[in-house]
Amino acid sequence: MPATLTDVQTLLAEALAASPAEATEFVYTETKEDLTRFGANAITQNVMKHSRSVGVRVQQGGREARVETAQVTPAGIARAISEALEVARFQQPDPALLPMLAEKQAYREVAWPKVTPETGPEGRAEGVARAVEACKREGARASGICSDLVTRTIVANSHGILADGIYREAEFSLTAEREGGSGWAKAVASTYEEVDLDRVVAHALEKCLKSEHPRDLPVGDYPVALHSAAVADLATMFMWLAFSGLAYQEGRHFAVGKLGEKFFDDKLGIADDPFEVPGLPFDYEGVAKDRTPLIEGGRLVGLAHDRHTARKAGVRPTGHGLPWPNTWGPIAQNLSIAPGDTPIEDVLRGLQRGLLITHLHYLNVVDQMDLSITGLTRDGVFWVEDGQIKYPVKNMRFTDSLLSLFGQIDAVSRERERSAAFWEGATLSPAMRLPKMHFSSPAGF
Amino acid sequence: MATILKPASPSMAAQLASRVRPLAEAALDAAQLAGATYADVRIVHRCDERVVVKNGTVGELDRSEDVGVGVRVIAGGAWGYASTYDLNPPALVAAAKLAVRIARASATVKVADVRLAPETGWRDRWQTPYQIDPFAVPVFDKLELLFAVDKILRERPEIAVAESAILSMRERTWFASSEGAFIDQEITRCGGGFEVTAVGNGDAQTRSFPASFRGHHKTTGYEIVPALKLVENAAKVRDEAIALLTAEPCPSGRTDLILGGAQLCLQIHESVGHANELDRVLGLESNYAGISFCTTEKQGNFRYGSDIVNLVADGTVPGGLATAGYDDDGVAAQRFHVVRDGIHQAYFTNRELAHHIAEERSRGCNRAEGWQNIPIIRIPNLSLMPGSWNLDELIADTKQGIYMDVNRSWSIDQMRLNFQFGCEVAWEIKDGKLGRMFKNPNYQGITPEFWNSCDAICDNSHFDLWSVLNCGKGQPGQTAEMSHGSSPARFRNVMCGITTH
Repeated sequence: MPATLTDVQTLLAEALAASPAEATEFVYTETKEDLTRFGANAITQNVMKHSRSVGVRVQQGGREARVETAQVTPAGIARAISEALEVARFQQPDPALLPMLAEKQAYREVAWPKVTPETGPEGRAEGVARAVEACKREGARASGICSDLVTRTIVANSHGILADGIYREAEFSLTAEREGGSGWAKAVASTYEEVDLDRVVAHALEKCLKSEHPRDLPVGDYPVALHSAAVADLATMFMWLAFSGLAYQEGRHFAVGKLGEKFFDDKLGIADDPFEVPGLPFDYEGVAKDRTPLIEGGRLVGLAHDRHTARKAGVRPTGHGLPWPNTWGPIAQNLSIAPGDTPIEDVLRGLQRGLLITHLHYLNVVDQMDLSITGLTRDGVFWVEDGQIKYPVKNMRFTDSLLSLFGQIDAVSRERERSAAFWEGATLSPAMRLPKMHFSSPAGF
Repeated sequence: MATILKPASPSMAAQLASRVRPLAEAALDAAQLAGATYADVRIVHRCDERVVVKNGTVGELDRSEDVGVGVRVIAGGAWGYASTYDLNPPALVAAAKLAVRIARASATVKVADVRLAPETGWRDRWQTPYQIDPFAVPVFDKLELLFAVDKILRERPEIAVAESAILSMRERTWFASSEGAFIDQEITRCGGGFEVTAVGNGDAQTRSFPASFRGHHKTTGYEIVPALKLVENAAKVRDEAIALLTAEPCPSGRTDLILGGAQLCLQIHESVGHANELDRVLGLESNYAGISFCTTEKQGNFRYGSDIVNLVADGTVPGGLATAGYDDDGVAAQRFHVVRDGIHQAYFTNRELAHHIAEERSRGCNRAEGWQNIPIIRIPNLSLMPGSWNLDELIADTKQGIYMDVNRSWSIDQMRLNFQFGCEVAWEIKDGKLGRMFKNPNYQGITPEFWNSCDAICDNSHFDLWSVLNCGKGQPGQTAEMSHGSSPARFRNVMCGITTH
């Protein structure tokens, strides 16, 4: 456990008991992150950060306010409570104020691997050295990160809610560059010991060496085979655009009034599942999470709800609330994209003429109402004929809609890979073959 | 009359002020005893306040306070960094020793020893000026203003989301180094804005004021908030959001493009700012945000833009979000041209990398988010210098084109060449006059081609320092703030209206 205070729960319980507010909630977060960063064959940044804070929310007389403090002591928390009460006093009472969670929750257990000793800076440097030496042997330049993250989150309130969980994430990523070629690979796991470093190095180097001297390709529509990392990149846009219960209620959602309808290919399935894609088993208001189906058989079957959007929709909250109050609304952070029945090598083999894409860069929304987005290819794009890579091509910008991209899916791999997402979140993605992706302008390199 | 809330920061900051010297000395001593050849310590205390009103209720009413220390060392010719929230001397000593251990691990994978450009060991107290302490203004007053804005925004039934905000921040940093520096620096930032989303006609359209992503902010006090005239502009901006619901889509094709100052802020940031960070240029950000087309052989000779394009970095400009006395290397703030008369001149550097381009002194661009993070090269305040045009005259001089403003979407490649940016609103320009409103406007270009197509820049009367509050960079991710000054400018023959087919 990262917490140096083994008695944080006790500290919070005593602070709750001492709080003069009608209702009090704490969100305690503690983060320990070790990260070694390397660039151009040398370690450039090598850090350990250890931070913690308590978000204090109070409700008093139909008003509420939140104060966050890094002073995790009885005096520091008491002061935060006092300040929150003082801030809350300046509001008008809200007759519709949602009381803090009181309903008893059953938190399922997330299956984290056995906690192993920390890698330490020497262990991370040794991994980096292996990657750098492998790249140097090929005359390539190596850049990347090796990281080890542990967080602890506790949500406790004066109605008896107590949720306490950890999140672990280790990552090794590598970009290898030579002669205008660039290759990238990444492994994300719960602990550093699970990271297959040699596989990352082999994949990045293979992409790099194959992508030298890329050729121009006219922009237009092409069939594509997407590595799982590229699918994960696109899944992030689903997370922002398609699953927010708040956006749906506010009318700024592509499917307003059409929940349950079919928008995508039968083969597209997405669920939020912190037990399959390791995450916290509760949200920041203490609501227990379960598997939340979002897209099944191409139908939009569910939305992420916090307690506030759930009340308005007349449904149960799905456990996707951020620390309240916020204006973001609920976010599904642990996306599990359904696997298909195609062996991963056949995803590429089945591509007659088209592009193999390693991953995507700098995605952003063009129009939230038709799910149109833009972004670029990166670190290895290849022209494929009859399932064989023929030559590397230069990067291109795509501008396309998720509705169109996933409106027809030719193949989904059986195998899936984990990617890091946001906060304590991750994505589990298969590789896919899509019949059409619209490339709108060349990058020129 | 409302009670004035006691500001959260001064009391703790004042308590810290009496303790920082011995704490810093303990950490520096421990680092050097452990073998560091260089060490610095940053003790950082930060307060943030967010007051947000959304759809008639308090959307956020947050205050946060954070304090901790980061120790950065060079040992064995390599960097190590460790940070802790614990400000007791044993914890600082432990952090210093850990930083040295990390540095020694870094030293096992190095190309050359870290070499720092010389800098005076400054001993100074510096702070951004303000007239009204934003933390001393009653929350009640802030809510009253925002509820007044909110009421106007929601007067029409088409409005689904109205959100207005006032943000305040104060950061006090004590920087001490083994070279004798001791800098006590305090930066206060404040500002606000609103955004309003109209829904109807199968569409949702958002307009913001004065700019998107929480409005307009400076290193200043609360005096900026009334000057923003949020109430006075609420009805006009709301009605624009509603009008966008039935506006025609932005036409597709090449045309002349006039960008407003708020959108130019983003254009400068993405296509000039990040492209000239020397760590990117040298390939050190390759695995994450990318590198840069503007490689070092281009310095002093590359035509970045047309001859009217002058882009000036300025860590000293009053009000700039990146304005400071010193960066987190302890280097004094500076003003310099990145592009002069269209020709590339300089990069953003730090003490470590300056020698890679044969410069003897850092340009003072190394900054860290809080105490938890190691300083990295950051875009400073960076502005497009005003030209000589009046905006009305510029529009009158444009036979056929589009005027776009206020950023909505941004994407640029890993070399900082191919960008595609979307704006909230646009108007047709026909025969020198503004005409129809267009929705979902966007444009795409290649950085040097785009800046070379600039043939007119508006004058100082249209110039303002626009704000970026959310610049992300680095791993672990860090957020930084900076300002980009601009006035509207015209770009010829730009591809606009990019679609999905």
